[in-house]
Amino acid sequence: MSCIILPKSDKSQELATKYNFKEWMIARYLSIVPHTEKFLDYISNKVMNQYIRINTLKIDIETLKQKLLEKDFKLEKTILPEVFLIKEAKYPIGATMEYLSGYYYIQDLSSCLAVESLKIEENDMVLDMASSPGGKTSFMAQKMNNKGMILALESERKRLRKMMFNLSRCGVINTVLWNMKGEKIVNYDLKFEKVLLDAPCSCDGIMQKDPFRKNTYTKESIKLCSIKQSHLIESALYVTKPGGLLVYSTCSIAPEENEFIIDSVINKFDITIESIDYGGVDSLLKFGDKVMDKSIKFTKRFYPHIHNTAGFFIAKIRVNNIEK
Amino acid sequence: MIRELTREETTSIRREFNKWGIFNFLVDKVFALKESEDNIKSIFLLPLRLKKLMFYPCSCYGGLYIGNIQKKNFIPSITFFDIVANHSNNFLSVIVDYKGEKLTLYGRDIFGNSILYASPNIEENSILLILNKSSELLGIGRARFHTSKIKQNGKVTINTLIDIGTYLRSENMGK
Repeated sequence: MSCIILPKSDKSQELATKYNFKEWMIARYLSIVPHTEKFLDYISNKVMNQYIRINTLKIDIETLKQKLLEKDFKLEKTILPEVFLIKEAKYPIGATMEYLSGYYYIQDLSSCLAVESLKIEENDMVLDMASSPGGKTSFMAQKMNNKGMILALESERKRLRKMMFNLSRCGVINTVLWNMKGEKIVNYDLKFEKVLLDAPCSCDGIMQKDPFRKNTYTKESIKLCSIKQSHLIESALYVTKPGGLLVYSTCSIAPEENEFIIDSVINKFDITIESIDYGGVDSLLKFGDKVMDKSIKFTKRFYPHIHNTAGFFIAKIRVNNIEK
Repeated sequence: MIRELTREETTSIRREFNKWGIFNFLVDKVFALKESEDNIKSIFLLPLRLKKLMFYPCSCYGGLYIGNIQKKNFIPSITFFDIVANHSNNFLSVIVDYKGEKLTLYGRDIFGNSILYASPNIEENSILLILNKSSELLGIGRARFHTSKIKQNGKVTINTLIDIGTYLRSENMGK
């Protein structure tokens, strides 16, 4: 799917100069992002929020909260009972004894919401199609209380070690990790009740964390990512059992990687888009000249300046019946 | 490549589980061995129901990584000792103060004056668990002295062998 380029305007040029972005990116953001200037100001000037997810495989929520309070951490509740916003930390949160012991995982709230949307049950057989570094995998294992089975896939060898470290640290025992491209899962005679596809993407939703992405973010990267994503989502649908759920998510703002991907499968497969229960804003039904299926409205977008999370997209898809 | 263990390998590992008082942890679980290109043999312990997923050519990790086999000997990982700390009463240990806790997490050795409590029957070269005041596992150490001399001021009395900070520093885990 080629990247859609929108016409320049005085506003896009003004904001591009003010916030040091490429003008074509700003022209797109003006059509995508609510309160665009507030968004640009937020991601240019504010440090990204840090969230932790308490790992209930190893410790209960109240005990860890108490431990962190004793170390002068200040925590704020979120919509999820096991996820907290770090308001203040005296120590680097990735270097505490509690972190090393696997009592918590540093994970953005939006990422946790993707897992929450999957409505995982203890004895499910679950597929995590692009799993490294293991945040969502370990959260799913936590939700399952280490029961059931998770098959986690990761195609990049260099990302495997971090994944193994995180699974080990968090005490995850119900997961097997395969070093394999996600789309190849269709070659195996396996079907899953729940599938999570947190697709590789152009990551402009996390530019706040990594400002250099402004330079590496190109029209070509959007196109390449969307091609990969469309292969992955089709494979994901083929391996989801009838009646099962697939959650597709990205940390991208580009519609070509989000709504367009979902729209491409709505009429091709017997699926239903279900609503997300955890906030977010309605996704786009139109971008450029492209008008999308009405059921796209059930997918959701999250924005840093509105939701205090990374820029994120979540779609929840019920598979009715798909034969390969 | 992932394979099942030989009888000899299985016996060696089961013996270690028994020695540390966690033999019952093996119920409904199986072992798998992954041999890397540089001949490191990593051992995984996983629930029986995961067996069918584990023995595929592209599989590289599953269940818990519990250690390596080196020259026919099983060398437990920190995860193995985490199981010991949580499921066994059959181990030697020391409890260290906050300063000792920080030293252990940096992979440093333990001074006697950091030790708040030591098991009564520690001998020289005993392998023991290093715990904090909340009895949480920090690492594994080797005693340089008998219990009666393990709290000597200003002297290193325990060599830290592995610690939970190893997770961040490890080069070979799970290869």
